[in-house]
Formats: sequence, structure tokens, C-alpha cells
Amino acid sequence: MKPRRDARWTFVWGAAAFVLELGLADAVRLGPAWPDLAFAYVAAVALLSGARHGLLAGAGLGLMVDLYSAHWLGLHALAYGAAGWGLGRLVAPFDERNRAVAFLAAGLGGLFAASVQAVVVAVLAGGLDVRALVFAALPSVLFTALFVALVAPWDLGLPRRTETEGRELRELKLWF
Amino acid sequence: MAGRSGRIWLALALVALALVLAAATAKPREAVLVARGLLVAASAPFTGAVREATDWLAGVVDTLVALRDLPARNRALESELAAMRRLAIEAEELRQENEALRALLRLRESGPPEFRAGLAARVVGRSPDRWYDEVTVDRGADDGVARGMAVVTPEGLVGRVVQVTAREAVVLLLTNPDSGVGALVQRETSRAEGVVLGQAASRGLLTMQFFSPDADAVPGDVVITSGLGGTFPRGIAVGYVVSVARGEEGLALTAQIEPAADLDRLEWVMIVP
Repeated sequence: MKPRRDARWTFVWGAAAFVLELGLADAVRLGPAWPDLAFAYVAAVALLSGARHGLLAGAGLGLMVDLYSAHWLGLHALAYGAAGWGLGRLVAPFDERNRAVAFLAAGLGGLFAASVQAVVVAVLAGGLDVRALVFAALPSVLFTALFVALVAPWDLGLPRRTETEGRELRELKLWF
Repeated sequence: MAGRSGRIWLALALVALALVLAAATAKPREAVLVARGLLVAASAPFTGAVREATDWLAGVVDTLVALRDLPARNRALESELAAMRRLAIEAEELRQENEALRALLRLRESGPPEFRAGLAARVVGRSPDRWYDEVTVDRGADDGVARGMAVVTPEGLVGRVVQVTAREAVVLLLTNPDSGVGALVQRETSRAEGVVLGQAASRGLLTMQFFSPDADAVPGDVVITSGLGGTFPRGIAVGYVVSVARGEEGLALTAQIEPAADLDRLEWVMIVP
């Protein structure tokens, strides 16, 4: 019964992140930096619940974000899903509740997601400066990572990452 | 390994699907817009509530910031208020001064011909112990003021210049016991003449001693300068008869006169050459 309850919390937090992303992100903007609360949620799920949950949360919430923007459907789903999965893998050998680990992991994950989006758009639309796009996203990525570092020590009712996932990766010393 | 390979192929297929979907919807499509509309409609109550809460919180923060600045703002406003009060007092003074000078100007233009050369002067000195005796004005010999000149206000006669320095002059008031003005009752059926003197006993009032014991004067009569003696032009209001009395022997007739000019509140006067 517990995993079901945890999955419910995953959904609740996801919906909350989506609503807050739409209603609040603009209000807490700091110059060029605004917190990507949707990605913060994906990162938190990946850190606390592991790569598989990170992938599902990223793809699901990314699709919602895509749907809201009404074009490039699948762009955020792909970027957030890949980042969620990678983040879950990346942080497996470490203490995911450590704020520094969470900040660095979320920062890297955010940069990765921004890069994926920039590359996809550049490939599909052509002529875009990927480097400029990633650099432009940097302040927001760091701001978002701060949010993740803030919530990292909390349980949030999310399902816990399985012990085997961490152990397996520690033994393999590989992410793939 | 087969399972792992299958997962990799599945992942690649999902990535390819996402890319195809993204390419196909690079520009908004009708179906996507409809789906978006549903999503917006479903999330609108929540996002609206979040925005309202954010606005409320921003309002609270603004209020707190304003409260923090309140003492400084209060001090600034108090300082501004004090400056405004000073300005208001100055403006009122200027208004009254302007009014007094306009009245003097009207007197100069509408009074007797001698008034055309009248000189406006401000009362700058008045001793409390000689309140009804004399005042000092800010015009002197440099301005053409000389002894014996009449001093008036729009309401009536004030006195005459008795002492002159370069920049100031001393005016002997009508109420000074040493003052004497040739005067007559203005009423057509009377025209009784006499001399108006200051009183030592009843300061602020004048006494008119009529030349004729049969003079006709009643309370309320207007007394004006007669022009006799040459010191004062004829026709300047001196005062109003308050009461009339006959001397013990029944011969001399005297009247109490209230000065026409408000000698208690002299600020601006006109010196008539």
C-alpha cells in the first residue's frame, strides 16, 4: 500500500509544481533568472526516487509544459525525461539528501536539459546558437538548483530510491 | 543482455518519437491548441489562486516596507508641513500688506488733490508707554517727508509729522494731548466748527471743542478736517461724535469723538505733503 500512497504524492507534487510554475515563477524572478519549478520537481523526484521515477516525472511534466506552450510538443518531455533519468543515475552513489550534492546534481541536470532543448531546436529549426542559449539559461538553472537544494533533505512523501539501484551502480562504477 | 538491449532500443524509439512529435508541432496545430485549451481551463482556478496569493503577499511585503519607511516619511512630511505653514504665514502677511497698499493707492487716487503726491509708509516703531501719542514710520527726509505733513489712512486722519530724520519720521497722533486739528461737523444742517484735541484722561478718544456755544452736534455725526490752519487738507474724516456735553457754565459745547482711523492697529499710512 505504501508505494501507491507515495505515487500519489508524486502526482500531487507534480501538479503543484506545474501550477506554481504557471502562477508563481514570474513573481519570484530575479533579473534574468527565474526558477523552473517544473524541472525542480523532476530533479527532486530523480534525487529521492531514482532514475526510473525521474524519467517518468520528467517526461510527464515535460509533456504538460509542452502542451501549455502549444508547440514543440515533446521537447520538454524529452529534455526533462532524459535529465531526470540521468540525474537519478548520477546521484545514486552519493547522499541525495546532501544539499551540495543536490545543488550540483540539479545544476548539471538543468544544464543538460537546456542543452538538449537547444540542440533539438537547432537541429529541427536550424541556425540557432546552442552555446548562447545554454548560457542564457544558466542563471535560471542555478536559481532552480537552489530550490532543489532547499527541498533535498525533506522526504516530501516521495517513494525512496531502491537500495539495489545504488549498490548496483557502485559495483559497476558506471552510469549505463 | 537482450533485456538491456531491448530497453536501449525502446529508449531510442521514444527519443525518435519525441523528435518527430516536436518537429511536427514546431508551429501550433489545431489539435494541440484544443488540448492546450483544456489544460489551461483545468489549471486556471489553481494558477489564478496562486497569482492572487502572490499578489496578496506582494501587497503585504509592500506594506511592511512602507511601514519601515514610515518614521522617515513622517519626519519628511512634518518638515514639509512646517515649511508650508511658514509659507502660509508669509503669504497671509503679503496678502494683508497688498490689501493695505491697494487701499492706500485707492485713497491716493480718489481723495483730495493733495493726496496725489501721497507717500505710503510703514509703521516701524510704537512705544507701549506712548501708545496714543506717537508712532515712527519708515519714511524720512530722503523720501521728501517734512515736519507738519498730514498722515492718513483710508479710514481717516492719523496725525501729523513732528520729527524727521533721513530715513524715518515721528508722527504725532490725534490722540496726543498736544495735538489739535481744525474740524467741522460734516452734516449739512450743522457745519459747526471747532478744534479736535487729544485727551490725557480718556486715551483713544478725542474731544471736540466747538467755537460756537450754539453748535449743532449729535451722536453719530461725522467730523472732518476744516482745512483751516493749513496743516491738514480739508475733508479728511477725523472721527464720529459719540456724545455731546455742555460746560458747567452752560456756554462751551464739547463732544467726545471716536477717531475714524483705527489708531490701535496702524501698520500702513500715507503721508500727505
